[in-house]
Amino acid sequence: MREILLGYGIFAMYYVLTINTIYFGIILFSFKEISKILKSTTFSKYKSLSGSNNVPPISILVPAFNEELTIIENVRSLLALHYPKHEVIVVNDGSSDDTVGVMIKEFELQYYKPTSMKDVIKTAKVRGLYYNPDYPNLYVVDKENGGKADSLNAGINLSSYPLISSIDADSLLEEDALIRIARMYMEKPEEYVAIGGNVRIANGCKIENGVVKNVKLPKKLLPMWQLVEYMKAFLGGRIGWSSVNGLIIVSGAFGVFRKDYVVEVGGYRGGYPGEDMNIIIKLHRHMLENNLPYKVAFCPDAVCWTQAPDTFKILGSQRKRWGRGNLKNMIEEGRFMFMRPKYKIMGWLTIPYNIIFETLSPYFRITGLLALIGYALMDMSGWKILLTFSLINILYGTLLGLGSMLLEEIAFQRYPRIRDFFKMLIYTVLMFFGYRQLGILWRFLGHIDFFRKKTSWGTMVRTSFNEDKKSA
Amino acid sequence: MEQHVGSRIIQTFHHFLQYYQESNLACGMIIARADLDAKQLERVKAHMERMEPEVGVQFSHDQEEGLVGILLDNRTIGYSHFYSLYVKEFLEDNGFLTGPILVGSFPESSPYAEQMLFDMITEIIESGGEKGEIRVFKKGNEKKNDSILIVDSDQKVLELVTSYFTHKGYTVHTATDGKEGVAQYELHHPNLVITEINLSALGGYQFIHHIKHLESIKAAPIMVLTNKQLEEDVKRTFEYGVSDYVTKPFSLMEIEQRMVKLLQPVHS
Repeated sequence: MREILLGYGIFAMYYVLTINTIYFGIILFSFKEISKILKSTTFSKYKSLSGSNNVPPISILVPAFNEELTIIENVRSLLALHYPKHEVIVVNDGSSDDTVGVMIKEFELQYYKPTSMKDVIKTAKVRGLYYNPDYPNLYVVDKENGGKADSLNAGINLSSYPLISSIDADSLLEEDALIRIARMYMEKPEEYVAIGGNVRIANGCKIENGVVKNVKLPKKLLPMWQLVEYMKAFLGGRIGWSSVNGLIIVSGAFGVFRKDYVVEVGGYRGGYPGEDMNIIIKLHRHMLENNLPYKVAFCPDAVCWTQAPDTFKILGSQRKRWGRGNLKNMIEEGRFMFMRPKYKIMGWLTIPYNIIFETLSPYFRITGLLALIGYALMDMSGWKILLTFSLINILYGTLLGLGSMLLEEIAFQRYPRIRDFFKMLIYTVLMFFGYRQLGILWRFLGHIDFFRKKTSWGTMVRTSFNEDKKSA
Repeated sequence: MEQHVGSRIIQTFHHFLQYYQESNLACGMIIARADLDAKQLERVKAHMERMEPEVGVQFSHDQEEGLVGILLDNRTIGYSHFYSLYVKEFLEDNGFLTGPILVGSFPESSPYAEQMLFDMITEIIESGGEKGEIRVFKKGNEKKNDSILIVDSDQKVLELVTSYFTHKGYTVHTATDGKEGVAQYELHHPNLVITEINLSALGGYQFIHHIKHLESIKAAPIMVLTNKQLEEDVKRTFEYGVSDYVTKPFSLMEIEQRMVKLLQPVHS
């Protein structure tokens, strides 16, 4: 019995080491890529591009559900993006608050019958459109509740431009975010099917009128943890994944897509969370099955600021939702691509990595830990193994965190102070004492929700964008 | 003669300036903020005579005020500016320089030689400025009292336009978004507005519309200065009643010429 426990425990340790090693490889790819990214951004003239006639127009889709508090500010900042030609389509997803009302009042919108809506993708019933010629590039679509994916589809039906951008109503784009993604797209417009932006945590920053004025690290524990986590996932992970064209997700918070392909794969699939990962996997599948040359890319200098949950309850429900979405995507789409040569990097690396090391990780980790603890209880000399393993794990993880922080410092320097660097480093180490374990647990609970056929979005309480205001 | 700032320099140059004024000959003037005694001034003199032996030059200084005055015989503003570069270099290398350098020339900068020297000294004492900055003196008497409001989210544009036009004698107000722009407009009633179209808080078009329709204030001419080069944007801004449309990257000279045109009816 003891040997079995020990054997299994050691297997679980190697499992964790393998995750870290794969991640290490991905970070190396990120480092390789970063110099290219730096050069291409340094020598681009974004200012003149943002007024140029040759930049493809973009339709920005903003699904809004109960956003009456923040929607005005966000729409204003979207209208003010430095971009030659874009339209902002706000889709009200049957809000129970006055989201449409405040928009009508602020922008003096008129009601129109939804006759101009194309019916490219089926959606919940559209009640009407709101428009004001004084704001020629702002549309508000009012429809019955159907979920986030459904709202995006309704936005696609109304949009008139070849590129669409999905944006969370609670995120703020930097004024040049769109033009930076467009510049990347313009390099190979026939190949880029989706480009994701870099999501940063806005907690702690000073925000005025929908513009981030003053970048600071969050003061609170949870947002700070999420910040280092995002940094690792986006800079360390996504740059590398995108360089081998194995990117499995473009954040729902901010991404740009080619509309024709999104429509070809049937639009966003509703009914459950994880629609952002779902659309990317479907695009990969579609392009590979039809042997079309394509790229799903990540543009780290196009920045979108988002408000991170700062309570355990909200964060937990977000993570459970992610766990649920991930599992569902793997069951519905991933298994068809698992280890199939036809799907190249996706089939050989991305999907297996996701299934074995992301989706199934709670089971291996939880059982492995239990086995080791059980073994240690039976054999008092076993604690050394436990300790050594934990130390290796922490050191390796810290090294990876340090890698992404270096990427940040090389390329972006949003947190220039030395103090900030050490603060981030400390939190990278602290993550191993509680936060990581919670994340694993939440993912597991998400799976349970999935099997109990839970389909709701969970709680997401909006807080004002300014930490200072709240603490004042 | 009453005692006033930099009076030592004024006394030294008094006769020269009278002579230039009467014979209407040109002369360059340089005033520098520098801390040195008579001996050190001799060194400056010797150095400058080595560097530029052709020019007839007079030096003077006022140790209490920490000023050095230089008079260049029969020289234009262009040459005086060039000469001041050498002066700056020498003063800096020896650690004498403590503030900005002001360059002017008679009769280019002003028709009154003595008054001009006095004004230059007053300006350099009162306005401060970066150490080592070289400014060209502008006649104050015909000061345009026109005020401009510039609205742009780009801090660099604001700084550039502000420094250039303040220097030209305009009063410049700035705002970084539409809301602030409206507030500034209502507060200062500027004679001209220069605005970007891409504005947050209140969009560019709404900002233009708003100030065009204020009851209390007569609408000022509006110049759009923007990255947007699309035909439809140009058309739309003119529909909103702007007077001019300039695209970035822009030349300050061009902006100034267009501005003068727009402001003319105000003066006539």
